[in-house]
Amino acid sequence: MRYIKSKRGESQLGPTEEIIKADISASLEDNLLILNTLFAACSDIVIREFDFGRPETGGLIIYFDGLVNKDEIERNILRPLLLGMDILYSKGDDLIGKDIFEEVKNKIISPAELKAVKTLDKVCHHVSSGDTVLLIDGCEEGLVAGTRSWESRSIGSPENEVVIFGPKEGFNETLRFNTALIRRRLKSSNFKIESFVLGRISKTDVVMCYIKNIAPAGMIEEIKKRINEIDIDAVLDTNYIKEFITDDNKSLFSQVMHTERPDRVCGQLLEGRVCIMVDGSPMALIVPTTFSEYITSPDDYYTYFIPASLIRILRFTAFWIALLLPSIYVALIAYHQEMIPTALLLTIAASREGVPFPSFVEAFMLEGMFEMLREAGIRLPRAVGPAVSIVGALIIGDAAVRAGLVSTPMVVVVAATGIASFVSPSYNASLIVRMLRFGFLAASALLGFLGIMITLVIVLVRMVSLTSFGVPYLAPFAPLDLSQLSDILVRRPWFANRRRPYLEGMLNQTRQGNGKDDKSQ
Amino acid sequence: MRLRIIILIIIVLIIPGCNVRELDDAAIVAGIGIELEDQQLKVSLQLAQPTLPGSSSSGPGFKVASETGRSFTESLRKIMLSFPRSPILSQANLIILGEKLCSTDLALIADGSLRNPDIRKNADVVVVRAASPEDIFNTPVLMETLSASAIPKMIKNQEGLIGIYSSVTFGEFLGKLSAPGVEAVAPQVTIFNTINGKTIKLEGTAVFKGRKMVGYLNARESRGLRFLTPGRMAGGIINIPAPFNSPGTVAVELSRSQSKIKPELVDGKIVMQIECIGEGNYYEQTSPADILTLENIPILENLVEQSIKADIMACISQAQKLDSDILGWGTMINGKDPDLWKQVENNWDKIFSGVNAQITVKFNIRRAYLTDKSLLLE
Repeated sequence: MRYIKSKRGESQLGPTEEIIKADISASLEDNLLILNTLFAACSDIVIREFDFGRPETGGLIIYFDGLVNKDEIERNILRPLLLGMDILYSKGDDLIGKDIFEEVKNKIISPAELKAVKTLDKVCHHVSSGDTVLLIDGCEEGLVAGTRSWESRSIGSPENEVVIFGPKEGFNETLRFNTALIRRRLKSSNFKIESFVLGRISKTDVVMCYIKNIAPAGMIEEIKKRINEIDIDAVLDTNYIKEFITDDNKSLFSQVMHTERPDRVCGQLLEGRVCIMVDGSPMALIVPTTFSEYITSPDDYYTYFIPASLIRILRFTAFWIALLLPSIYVALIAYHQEMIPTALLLTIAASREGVPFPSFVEAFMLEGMFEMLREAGIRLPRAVGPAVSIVGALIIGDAAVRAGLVSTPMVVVVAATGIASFVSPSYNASLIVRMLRFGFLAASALLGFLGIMITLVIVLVRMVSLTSFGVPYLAPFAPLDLSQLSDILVRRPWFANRRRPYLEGMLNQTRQGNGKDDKSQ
Repeated sequence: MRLRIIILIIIVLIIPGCNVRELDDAAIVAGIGIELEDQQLKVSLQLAQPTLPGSSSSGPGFKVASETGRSFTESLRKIMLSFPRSPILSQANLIILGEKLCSTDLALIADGSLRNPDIRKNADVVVVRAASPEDIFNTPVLMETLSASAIPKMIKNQEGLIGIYSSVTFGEFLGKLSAPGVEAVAPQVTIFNTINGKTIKLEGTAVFKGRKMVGYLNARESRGLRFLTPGRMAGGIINIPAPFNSPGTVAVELSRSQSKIKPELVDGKIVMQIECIGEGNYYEQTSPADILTLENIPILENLVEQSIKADIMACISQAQKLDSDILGWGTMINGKDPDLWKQVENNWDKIFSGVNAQITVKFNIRRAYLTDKSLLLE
């Protein structure tokens, strides 16, 4: 699929687009004609016409089958309407369109959500979203009743962010459920959910959540501006938005965080960040995101702080192992043999005897094979999963060594790297690490430790120059902020967590106590 | 900007850096031996034969390659004429110097081995006695495949357990060869016949003067040398004859000691003030007498002090006899009083043998391992 971006307002409008800009006409027949044109060949549209015993004043309801709760339409719209209109007409005959509309709106039909719309454009949008629109002859307005209801996945536990302690709820594909999951945790009127409609065809609901008085106002405006600038035909996932709104959207490093956990979103909102969610995707985006978010997991905060801190140190170590171990190994055995203890070198040398490839080719081969296995594992049908893992384990682990194609220590190194890369709580982070690992490997094959250092410097320079909505990407490390660093490298206990991490222009920094130490107040 | 970065990367890539050397094209050198043979330098390498753990290996597990040439580097590289792999010299943890080479002139190899970046300066150096380095490499050692990796372990372990010889690194050795006011020493190894065949044994400390070996210290003098090295040390057994006319020996374990040596000028003469404080544990007695009592402890301590003092004196007298300042007293004088050193520097060879030493030893027995009386008494 390829979406062609073009500037809004450029004349690409066909006849339907011309019609849709019109207002609702007073004549029901005209409206019906237009609606029939608009929804021609939409087999799931339902247009139900009726008259109230008087053919000159008829009405119709229109909805998409499958998006609505038919029971509710019947109970709250059709039945009251058919019964109520009789009573209405029995009172007098001189009612004109406008009066009927008001009577119907205020006294007769009873859906919980009800509003009046004037344009056909709105009618189309609401009908497509699962609402039911009621048009009455002689009225220039339509009534939109909220009857959205469709089959959806129930709220399950998040699949990609598994935790041991803490809430086990995850987002699903319905935006309203998702916002409700957050609202349930933040019962404050300061928790704001601003809504946008994006996508020329998809008309996807997009929301931006933040907590007023905590999130910096300038950042909210900037995010709004960037979201409003998006002009695309469809938004199917949050990643579409991510690629438009990041500061540097060609960077290897992802400057936004994905999560499917409402509790994580709440935690981030309370630190002054902004969450963006898209209808139809269970992933929420959190901006701004710094690199340190990649070594923190939400359940650090649900575990006692001492083990949580140790696990964080472990994760940090695993990050470096996943990034550098194969390249360090190749550099050691191909360039800097003097750095290996003799006994270890002898073992490595013995297993390398007869291996026909240079060590970096060996490393590339095994790493590539491992990445393929990993990628295959994601998309495997359940039934063939075990087969592939057995083949993978046998071929890579055993047969390749026995055939003398690779050496055993290399298998150990690649396996250790693989395990270390699964330690990362964020899939995004492990993606970056996976990409960089090959870069480091190439550099170490070319220049040994010198190459690793050069690459490390290049990567670091690139990382410090990145910002995510004005916040430096390596924030507590560079620029160094010791007070924040203590909650990144280890997990600060809650009683010591008195202040929010500082973001640019943040308003309210005090988390606990009376805020005497809060300079911003 | 981008162009500049690309150019920078290309420059970095074409700069000759380290060379790739795959392990299957290389041989791991465990030890380097150098000896003088027919006026030519003979370099021997002990090359470790990689064997997988678990696989049954036949043969000794190492190869020895030797070649002679006019210079150290030439001999080293001539090995390549008959050897298909490039040796990883940087793994060599032992450098063995031949007796003949040492008593001729170490300038023959000092420069070549110092310049070579692949030769570890923290490798142990030993001098071979009554054999050649090649013989040492070819002699099997108990429990170890490579004699070159066994010798540093032997030196290190005996240092903590019996405390006779001290390890000397190659860098330190070369430094002392060229520094004024201190002479080099190195432990000696020799081949030792047992009923099971030949094996290697540490024996003696080679004493150098200038660039030549002039003699050696025996075990007792070597032990004294340890106490004469400023700083802390730990480990070793001190045997003293059992006191009070009881037969047998008492062994005391030295748990730690500290030596302070400072030169002083007394009546225009240099006197070295040697202060040695040690403590240790009562370890063994070979007689049934009731030696270890509260009253006897000061006496025992005194005996140990005398024994240490005797070791120290033996070492000093042997060094002065060989006229070689292996104790580094010259540098100590230079550090304390540079003006005085300038006066004596040129005549130091002659002055050294006449320098007196004032030795104070203080020893405390700390523990007796929960046994107060010898088992034999009960």
